[in-house]
Amino acid sequence: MTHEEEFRTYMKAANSTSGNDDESHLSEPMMIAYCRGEMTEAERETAQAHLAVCTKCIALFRSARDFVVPARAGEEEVTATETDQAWQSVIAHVQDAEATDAGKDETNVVQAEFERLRDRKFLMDSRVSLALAACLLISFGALGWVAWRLWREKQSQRQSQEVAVQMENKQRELEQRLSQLEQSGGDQLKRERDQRLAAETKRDELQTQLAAAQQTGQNIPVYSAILSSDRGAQDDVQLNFTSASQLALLRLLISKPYEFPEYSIDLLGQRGEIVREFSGLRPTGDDGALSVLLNRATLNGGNYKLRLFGQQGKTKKQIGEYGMLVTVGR
Amino acid sequence: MDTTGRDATELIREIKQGLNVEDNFHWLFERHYAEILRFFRRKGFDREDCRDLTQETFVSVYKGLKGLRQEEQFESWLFAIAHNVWVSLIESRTARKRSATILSLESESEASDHPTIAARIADGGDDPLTAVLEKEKLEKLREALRHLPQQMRRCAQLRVVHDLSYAEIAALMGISVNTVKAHLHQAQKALREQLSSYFEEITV
Repeated sequence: MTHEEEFRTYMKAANSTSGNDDESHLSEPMMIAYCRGEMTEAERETAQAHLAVCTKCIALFRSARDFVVPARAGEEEVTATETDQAWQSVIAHVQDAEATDAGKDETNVVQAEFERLRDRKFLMDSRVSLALAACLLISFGALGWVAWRLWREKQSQRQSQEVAVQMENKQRELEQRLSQLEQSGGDQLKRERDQRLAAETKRDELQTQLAAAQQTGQNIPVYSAILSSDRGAQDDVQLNFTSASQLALLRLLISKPYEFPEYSIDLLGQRGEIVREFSGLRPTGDDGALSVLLNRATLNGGNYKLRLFGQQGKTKKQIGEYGMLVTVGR
Repeated sequence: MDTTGRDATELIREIKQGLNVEDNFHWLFERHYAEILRFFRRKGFDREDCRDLTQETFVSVYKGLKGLRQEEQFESWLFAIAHNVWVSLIESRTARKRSATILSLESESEASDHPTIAARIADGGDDPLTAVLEKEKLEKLREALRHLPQQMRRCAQLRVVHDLSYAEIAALMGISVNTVKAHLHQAQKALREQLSSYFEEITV
């Protein structure tokens, strides 16, 4: 870089920091006015200050000067013939351009008309299509509705059938249960009837015994025996049926008569078999004696074993075993 | 049609209304043809190019007339169109030249040398010492320019920075060429007195 160039560079650097923004650029009318001296002093000062630092506006200034400065001496004259020829050329260009534009316009008009017709056709087509689509839609809708109805009916029919089957099953079940109940009820009745008959037989028997007792009056002999745990001989209890007495009342005195609410006695024969059973015996009187009414008809003379049990609910406990001698008078 | 005695504004209004378009446009053409042709001649084009550019300008004018809002500014508008035609041509020619020519590194360096340095000086260099020296030099130059009278300073700027001729400076400043010369002489003398220790050569 030469020294001259260096100075120019620094001048440009100094110039570049001066105010030079887009807003202060001069427009073409302003520049024309500036070149023709048609600005006020203030406007001219502002424009000049900007021009001194703006390369772009200086270029426009140069152009504006080329435009506004009248023909100088020595510059070529423009003849009327030349102007006329130039006009012919310009007007021919303009007319060509207009014809081209008109052609474009016409094309545009034709295109627009074509598009309009196409749109109308499309519109017509659209209407027919719409009607067809609507018909189809309605038909499909109706078909769907009928199918739905049929399906619903079928469903309800199937449900009814299922309910009927269930009801039938239930009825059969109930009938079966009823017959079972009837059968069990019959059995129960039969059992109850048998029990009743047995009770009646016993009652009759007791009545007979009572009647016999009533006939014999005060002639029923009473035999008392004390049962204790240390006893156990063969003649613990001695009972004698006279020829006149049919019955005998045996009163058994035990050491703890109220240890059990009830007592039972088994009479065992010579071979250890149970001859008679007495249950539900309750201690009576002050001494808590257990009374057993014996019938001569059911007993033969001989030795028996008397086995005593205490009872409380279902619990049965053996208290002791005693000998009993029965004699029968002729 | 006789258009004598009528001003351009009225004719343009009629054109915009579609009235006597060709006649009115013919009148405008005749009135400004020489002006536009001369404009292009002054730009340095040959006669044939000037005719073509002028024709192109008027065809553009015809096409754009209906869009012109301020009829009274027709002349500025006409100038703007002619200026744009010229700028477009210059740009297209420059683009063609650039695409056809492989620029040498040297010429590229030359083309971009000054703006780069100017920007670097303005922003500060990479080397701190150089940056300080350049900044000081720049400040001294600015100070010296501030001390110059306004007209003298502008003349110096237009001459050194924008490389305008004396006549162009005179036209721009609205002063005579002799005054420009005197201003430049005085400016050079003042700057040399103040900046001789910073710059080897100061030519304005």
